[in-house]
Amino acid sequence: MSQVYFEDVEPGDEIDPLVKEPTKEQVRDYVSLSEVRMGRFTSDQAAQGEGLRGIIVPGNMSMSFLSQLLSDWAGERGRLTKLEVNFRRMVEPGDRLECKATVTDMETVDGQNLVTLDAFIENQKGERPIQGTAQVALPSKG
Amino acid sequence: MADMDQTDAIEFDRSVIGVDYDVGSHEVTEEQVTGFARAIGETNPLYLDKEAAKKGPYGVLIAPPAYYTSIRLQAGPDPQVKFGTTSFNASQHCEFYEPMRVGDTISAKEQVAHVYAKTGRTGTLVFTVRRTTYSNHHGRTVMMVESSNVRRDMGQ
Repeated sequence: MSQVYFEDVEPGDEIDPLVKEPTKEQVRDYVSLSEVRMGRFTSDQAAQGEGLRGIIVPGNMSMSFLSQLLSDWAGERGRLTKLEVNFRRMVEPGDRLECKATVTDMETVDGQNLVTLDAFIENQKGERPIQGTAQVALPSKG
Repeated sequence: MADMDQTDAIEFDRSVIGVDYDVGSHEVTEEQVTGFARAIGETNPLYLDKEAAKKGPYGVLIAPPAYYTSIRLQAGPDPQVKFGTTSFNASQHCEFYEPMRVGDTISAKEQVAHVYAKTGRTGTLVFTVRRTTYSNHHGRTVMMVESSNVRRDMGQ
């Protein structure tokens, strides 16, 4: 894996997006491993009983995609340190999700090189079902 | 912003607010870490490849940051909010202090930090904010999650 260094980054930089298209099958796999145990994630019928069109993708699963984007970007020697997201819209299986982030701020605090980013997921309609901010600690070349 | 009068009018158990409860412990196993990583479509060898992880900065397989969403815990304190017909995730705020490693025993504490009401474009919404703190068997806090759940009345 390539490593990004603090010195290589500047505000305005966009991370290469990570694209996900979760299927119903993948949602079931995720749910079977996770603590969520709600019918709306595994059965269209149960979801419709709650007034939804069908199965929805758990917010935690979408958030996991966004955290993958950020922790992969941080690399082996960096680390995702904060992630704060708002769940604004439903995500459905079959949606095309582009996980994206843009650097907004950089600072060095107590020897840690911290990068703040706007992080969000954009669907095929251009909506942002998940929107938030993140902080990543990066290594320095120095 | 929270509407104080509206919040005062919501019926819930105020005695649980701000009180930490032990909600169990969890062994971080290779099987669950790689299973979770595959379910998300992770490709990072630090989560998936034991040999590569050995040579990495932690010397052992680590869990992806969002792994905590796969940790089954006991039910935490329930403020028994008497409002709404359905609930959804509203927001989540995570702070990651160090990775969870395969072989760690993670213990978790949970509290209901706040319950508050506000009026959105779809009517009254009642938010419950839970704070869960995860510590490893060395006694170090590895992460904290504040999770906000919103209750609303679908019939509104």
